[in-house]
Amino acid sequence: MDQNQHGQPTQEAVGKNQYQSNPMMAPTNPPSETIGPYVTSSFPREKQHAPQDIYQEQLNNFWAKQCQEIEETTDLRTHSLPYARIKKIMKADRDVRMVSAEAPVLFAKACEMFIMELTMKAWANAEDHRRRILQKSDIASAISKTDVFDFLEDIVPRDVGIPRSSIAQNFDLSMPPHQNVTYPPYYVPAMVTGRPIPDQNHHGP
Amino acid sequence: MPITNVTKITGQILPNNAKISYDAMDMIQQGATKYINFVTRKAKEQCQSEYRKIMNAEDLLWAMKKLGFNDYVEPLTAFVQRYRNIEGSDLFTSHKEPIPHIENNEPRPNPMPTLEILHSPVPPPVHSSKPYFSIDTSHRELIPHTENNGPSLGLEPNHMPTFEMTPLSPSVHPFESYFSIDPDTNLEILDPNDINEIYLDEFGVGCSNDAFNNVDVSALFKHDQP
Repeated sequence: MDQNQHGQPTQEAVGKNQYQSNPMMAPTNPPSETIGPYVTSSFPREKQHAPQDIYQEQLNNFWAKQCQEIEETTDLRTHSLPYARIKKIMKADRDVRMVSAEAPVLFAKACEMFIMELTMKAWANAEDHRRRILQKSDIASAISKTDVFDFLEDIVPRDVGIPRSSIAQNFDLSMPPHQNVTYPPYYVPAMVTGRPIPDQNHHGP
Repeated sequence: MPITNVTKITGQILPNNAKISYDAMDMIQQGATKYINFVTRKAKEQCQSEYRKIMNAEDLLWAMKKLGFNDYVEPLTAFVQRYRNIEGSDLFTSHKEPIPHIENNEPRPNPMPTLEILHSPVPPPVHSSKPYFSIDTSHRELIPHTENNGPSLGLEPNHMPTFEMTPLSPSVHPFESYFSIDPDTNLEILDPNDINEIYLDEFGVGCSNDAFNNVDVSALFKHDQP
């Protein structure tokens, strides 16, 4: 366990170097602000086990493939998601009045990656239970395992995981405090990144 | 988000032997919509802080990084750069597209069929006018005119008795119209003008054959011959 904990800081250092090395990212990433997401991202790594290590490798391969696909694809006109629909969803917020033409296009690609990531994590959960059909509980499990997906807690019903195995029961035990904590931060997005830290500290010991 | 698009994307990432339930698909669909709302709400803060009204790609990338989606920023940055390079060329192609639309609209006007009204000319009553002129000549009682009266009478042999009546008003045309409508009233109107002629005709009606025989016996025979 101690060795694993020591190993993770090195990964964090590598991540920081990657972000700092990018000149495009430097002006938009003040050093004080970058600490937050790294700290939040380190906690789910503590929960990882042997199969999750393989799972992490799959994620790294996924993101590497995404970069390659973007560089290799010559035709970016493939409509994975309709731009007009995305624009409507963006304008659901009354304060958002004008949107540039690039924003829906960027969101189409971002949503595609979001759906792939969510599906990949859910499928990993299905494989752990030796099932070939992806179910609602798999997605609920993927959402509960990932902190950046906290904004999706309200679409996860509480009763989904109860009839599952002991692992699911553990998730159910962790579900209520997450839900209690995430409801207020949902209205204040800035707080989402701050609140989970003390809760995870409690889970640590 | 359309469920068909979500299905295609999940199909790309899942193995061939994998299946996905409808509930799970619906959940992913809702998640994508909430993801857009979540990132948009964060990007809005960036726009408002800089007093900008138009939300652009940089705002979204900033919001994703703030919300913890760090892995998304690098591929999306490359994606936006590629899109901007292609968008420049797309502008030229977009101008070319509306041209065929205009060409398609040109042949659309349908020619309306024009209605041609045929005005049928009404032939004037030639036969009715000629006998009146011939009657006028009969009053002069000239030999060559009587010869002209012959063929006119021959053309209308059935109207012989009418010709006997028409000499009463040959010179007055409006009286002719009255005569054609009401012969009795016409006679009444003519009373103050031609009293002597009327009386003679009245007597002549009783013995019309004798009167014609006494005056022009040869003329009567000539009319009967043709």
